[in-house]
This record gives sequence, C-alpha cells and structure tokens, in this order.
Amino acid sequence: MRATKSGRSFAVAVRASLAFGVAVLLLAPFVPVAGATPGTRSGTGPGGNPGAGFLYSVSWNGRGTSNATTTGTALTVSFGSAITMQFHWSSGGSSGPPGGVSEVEFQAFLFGFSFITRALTNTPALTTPTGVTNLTWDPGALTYIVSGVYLCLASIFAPNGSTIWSESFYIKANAPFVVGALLPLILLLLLVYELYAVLTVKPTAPKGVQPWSASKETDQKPESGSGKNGGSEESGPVAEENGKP
Amino acid sequence: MSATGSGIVSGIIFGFALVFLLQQIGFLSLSGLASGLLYLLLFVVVFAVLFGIIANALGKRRARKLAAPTASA
Repeated sequence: MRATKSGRSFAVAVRASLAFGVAVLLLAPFVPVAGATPGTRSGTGPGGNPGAGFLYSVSWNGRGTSNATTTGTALTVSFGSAITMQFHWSSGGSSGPPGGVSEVEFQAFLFGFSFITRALTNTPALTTPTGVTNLTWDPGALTYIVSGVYLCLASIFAPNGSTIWSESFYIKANAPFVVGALLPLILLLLLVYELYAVLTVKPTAPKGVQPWSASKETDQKPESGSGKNGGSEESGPVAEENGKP
Repeated sequence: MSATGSGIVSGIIFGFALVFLLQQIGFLSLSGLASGLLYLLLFVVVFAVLFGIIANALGKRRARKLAAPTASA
C-alpha cells in the first residue's frame, strides 16, 4: 500500500513539475532581458491628434501590419534575427505632423502587460512632411522563449508626449526549431497523459461499501464502523490487500 | 486520492496545457489581461468539472465490476 501511495505521489509530483516548468517557460518573457528598453510612456492608446491629411503606417521587416488585425490574419514573424520596424508618415502639405515626430515605440503584450518594449527617440523631432524612422532591435534571448500569437502596438509620439498615431496588430512568432517543436510537443504529451490518467482512473468504492464486497444490490456498512476504510474511496488492488483475512 | 480528485487534478492540468497549446499554435491570443485570464479560468474550470465527472463515473463502474465476481462467488 505504501508503495502504491508513493507511486501516485510521484506521478502527481512529476505532472505538477511538468506543468510548472511549462508555465515558467511561457511566462519567461516577463523576465526583463538585458538591453531591453524600458517603456517610457503610458496610456498609449489610439487617439491624440493625428494631423489632418496625414497617412501613417508601420512595417515589420518590410511587411505591412495594417491587415494583421486578428489572430487569424496575424503576421508570421521570426525572432531569429534583427528586426527593423519602419514607421512612415506622409502628407500632401509642406509641414510635418503637429509638433513633429519625437519618438516611435513598439510594444508586445501578454496577459495585459508589455513584455517587449522598444523605443527610438528622435532629437530634434522630425518635422518633415514625409518621413521614415527605422526602429531596429535585436530580440536577443527572446528568440528562444517567444512563440505563439501576441498583440502588438506601434506608436508615434509628439515631443509633448501625446500620441500622434498608434496601430494594433497581431504577430505569430515562430521560435527556433528546437523550442518551437519541443514546447507544443510537451504540451501535447501532457494533454495525452492527462486523458490517459482519467480514462484509467482507479476504481472508486460507493460510500460505505468496500470495493471487494460491493455489488449493485448490496449497500452494507463496513464491519469496522468508522474504520479507516469506511466511506473512503480506495483503489481496487489496495482494498483487496486490506480485505484479505 | 479519490478517482474524482484525480480527475479534477487531471482536468486542471489539461485545461492549463490546452490554453497554452492553442496560444502556441496561433488559435488563441492571451495578450489581454481580462481575456487571457478568462480563457485560462474557463478552460481550467470546464475541464476540471468534466474530468471530475468522467473519473467519478469510471471509478464507480470499475469498482462495481471489480466487486461483482467476488460478491457472486
């Protein structure tokens, strides 16, 4: 009986450790990475004064993000190499965006928190009617831990800190082969194991009935009254051992 | 641990793993705090209840099967 109990405890411990490991791996992006630029703004939601007649856009390594508005149309990206985000603005007039473009920023979110923030400050602010600012950054260690679908926000700020323009889009990050293949595989194995664990669950005795004497008709009380097996849900083999004279 | 308890634990881990697997393969976004936690909670609760019920039923059925030959002998 002791061996069975310790075996079960071991199985539970292994499963819990596996689940914990996966959780840590998935939440690892929250750990600050060396070289990461801390967020310098808050409340960067859409709004502000976009400036009449101006067109803004952002691209990820040359690919437009304006169509990646849902998880289904997410931009498939890789964190395996340096990323260049180009922030464009243009107008038909002779003046630049109101106040000029002081800063561009990129953020990616997980559970509502920005786990990637990269920003570039232009000093002095760019006031040309048409322009491009390149925000180039190296994902570094994020290469190995970021995979899956994430909501991102690209923003352009004026010198006074107000948001000139911002756009939300989704990316689907593909991790390098080892991580990209291993993590879903571990999760799949975990799912299969849990299904197996449920489908091969040990027998449960009806309340007040020992499993070795239970039948559809009998509903007898255990002989020992409030004995240690009375009313408990023992497994078959263990109960059989206990029931032997 | 009882069969029901085992089923609930399995269901919690199953729901947890499923949410992250769906996020990994691009079916689910966990970017929002409320929506992310809602997905996690929903999957964990639904599968915990479902697996608990299944394990309870299977456990009782197997106990009856196990006991039937002994009782008739």
